[in-house]
Amino acid sequence: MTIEIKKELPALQVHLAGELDHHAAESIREAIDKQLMDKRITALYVHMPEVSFMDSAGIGVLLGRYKIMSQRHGDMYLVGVSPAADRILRMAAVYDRIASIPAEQEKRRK
Amino acid sequence: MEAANQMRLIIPSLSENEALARVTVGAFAARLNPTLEQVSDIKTAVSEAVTNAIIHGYEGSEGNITVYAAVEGRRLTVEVIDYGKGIADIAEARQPFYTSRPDLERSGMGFTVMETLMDKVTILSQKDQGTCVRMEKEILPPPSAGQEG
Ligand SMILES: Nc1ncnc2c1ncn2[C@@H]1O[C@H](COP(=O)(O)OP(=O)(O)O)[C@@H](O)[C@H]1O
Ligand SMILES: [Mg+2]
Repeated sequence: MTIEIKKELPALQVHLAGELDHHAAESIREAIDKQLMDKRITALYVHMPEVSFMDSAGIGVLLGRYKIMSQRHGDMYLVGVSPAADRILRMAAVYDRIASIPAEQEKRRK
Repeated sequence: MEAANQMRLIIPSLSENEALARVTVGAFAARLNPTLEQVSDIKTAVSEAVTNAIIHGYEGSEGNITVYAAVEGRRLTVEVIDYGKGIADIAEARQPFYTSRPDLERSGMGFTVMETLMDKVTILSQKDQGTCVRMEKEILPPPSAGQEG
C-alpha cells in the first residue's frame, strides 16, 4: 500500500494505492490522523481508484476518519472508488454515511 | 476429473502474513479456473479470517496460524485455525457490526463479509483452546463458459 497526502487548506487530499488490509490500515490511520491534527482541515478527500484489494479493516479506517471529520463538522468524500473497494463498501453500507464522487477527469501529470 | 488436492500453511501471527495467506489460497484455487471476481472473493474471505486470528485469537501476541485448503471436484474448502483465546458466544460474534474491539476501529463486518463471499461458513471454537473458521465455496464456471465466441 502506498499513501500520498497533500494539504490544500481547508482540504486534505489522500491518495491510496495497493492493498488496503489490516496490515496497511495502521500506517494509513497514523499518517492521516497526523495531518488531521491541523484543525483547519474541514474536508477530507480519499482518492481510491488504485485500491486493488480491500477488506473490512479498510471500512474501519474510513469510518474512523469519518467520525473525526463529523466531530469537527467537516466533510469527507471517497473519490473514484475502484471496483475492488466498491464491492466491500456496498456490503457494509458505507455510502449511507460517506459520500462518494467520481474520479477527477484530469489525468495526473507525470 | 482431477484428483483432490490440499495444502497447509503455518505462519506466525504477524499482520504482514495476511497478504501471504490470501495470495497463497488464491493461487491454490487457480486449478478450479475461478473468475477474477471469485479469486477476489476467496482472498477477501481468507484475509478476514486470518486478521481475526491475529487481532482477536492472539490479541496481538505471538502464536501460529494454520491455513488449510482443499479442492475436491469444484468445491474449495478453506480452514483458518488459531490456538488462541476462542470465541465465547459464536452467535453474537456472527452478528453484522458486532465487534468486541471498537477501540481498534474494527467494523464488526468480518464474519458478514465471509458469509457473503463464500457459500458456507462454519465456526468451531472453544474458550482458551482456539478457533477454526471453515469456509466452503463451489467454483462454478461462469454461465457463458464452454460457448464459443
Ligand atoms: N479467531 C478469533 N478468536 C477469537 N475471537 C474472534 C475470532 N474471530 C472473531 N472473533 C470475535 O468475533 C467478533 C466479530 O468478528 P468480525 O465480524 O470479524 O468483526 P471485527 O473483526 O471487526 O471485530 C470479534 O470482534 C471477536 O470478538
Ligand atoms: Mg474481523
